[in-house]
Amino acid sequence: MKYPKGFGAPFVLIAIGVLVAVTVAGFVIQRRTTGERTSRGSQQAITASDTTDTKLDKDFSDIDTSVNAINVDAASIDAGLNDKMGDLSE
Amino acid sequence: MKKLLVIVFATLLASSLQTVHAEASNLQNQSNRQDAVNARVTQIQERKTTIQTNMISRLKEKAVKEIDRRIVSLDKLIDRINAVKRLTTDQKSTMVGQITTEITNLNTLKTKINGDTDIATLRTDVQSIVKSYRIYALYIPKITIIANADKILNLIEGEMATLTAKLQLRIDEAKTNGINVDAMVSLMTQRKAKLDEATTQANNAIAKVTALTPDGWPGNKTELQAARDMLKTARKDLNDAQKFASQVRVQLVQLKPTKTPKPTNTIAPTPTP
Repeated sequence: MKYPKGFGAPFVLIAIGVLVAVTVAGFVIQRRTTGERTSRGSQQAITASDTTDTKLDKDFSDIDTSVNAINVDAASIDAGLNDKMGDLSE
Repeated sequence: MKKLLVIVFATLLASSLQTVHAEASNLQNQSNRQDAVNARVTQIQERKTTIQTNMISRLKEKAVKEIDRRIVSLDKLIDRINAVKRLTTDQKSTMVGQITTEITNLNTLKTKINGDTDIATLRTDVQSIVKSYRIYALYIPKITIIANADKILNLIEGEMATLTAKLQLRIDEAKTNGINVDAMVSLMTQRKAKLDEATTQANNAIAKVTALTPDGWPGNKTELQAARDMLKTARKDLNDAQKFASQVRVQLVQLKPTKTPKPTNTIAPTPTP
């Protein structure tokens, strides 16, 4: 492939520039994703700051809410077991 | 003599005329009675048709209401099945498939019932609602049991496990500070035992009902009742486990040193001369 004299060098420079830009963008995106993963993972690990009285109180309260929801949900088991078919006599 | 004959003849004629008239009158009466009977029969027939039409209408209304009630409940079951974590994709697919088939059958039956004009056919169709009841009667408690057990297990493995870890961290911290934590350790052990039992009960409840099929209804109702009782125990265990956790929490609060007021830097008043 022939290019007019004087255009070859700028073309190569532009190509290199694009390659560098793509590489840098990829690197930045990868770093950001890894950072997110790390922070998500660290959320699951329990640290001393997670065990403050306030946080424990909230945990107790959340569990009480969940237990109550399970108890309410359990009422539907009895409702299902005691289900009576609608009157179809005529 | 001739006169006598005329009298006799006249008498006979009069008598005959009277008989003919009576007969005619009788026939007229009979005809009127027949008309009355016919009118009555028509009236009864009309009443019978009205009663039957009303009966068909009422029976259709009841049947459609029952079908709709089941379709609504079965629709909700599909959402519940898909939300359960402890069923395999195949198990979910089979259950959802059976329920979807039942919903389709009920919709087809509803269309048929709505189109029925004959009471005998309608009664037969309504009877098929009764026959298919076992599918509904089994699936409603079966899926609610599985869903409830799943919620219990999610809570134990999620929020309650996190709380256990947090409390344990606080206990370890206290131990490092030289505090006797034996009582709290004991409470945590009892809590763990309750949570373990709840886990076993919930898993057993799922295992007990998963294999139940409508063919076994109503015989397998006792299995459903047993699974329900297992979940009752599991829920009681959850409450007990939380009570132990609360006791640990109280003890942890009591360990906290009471804050002594920090001395403030005050400038000594300049002595007055």
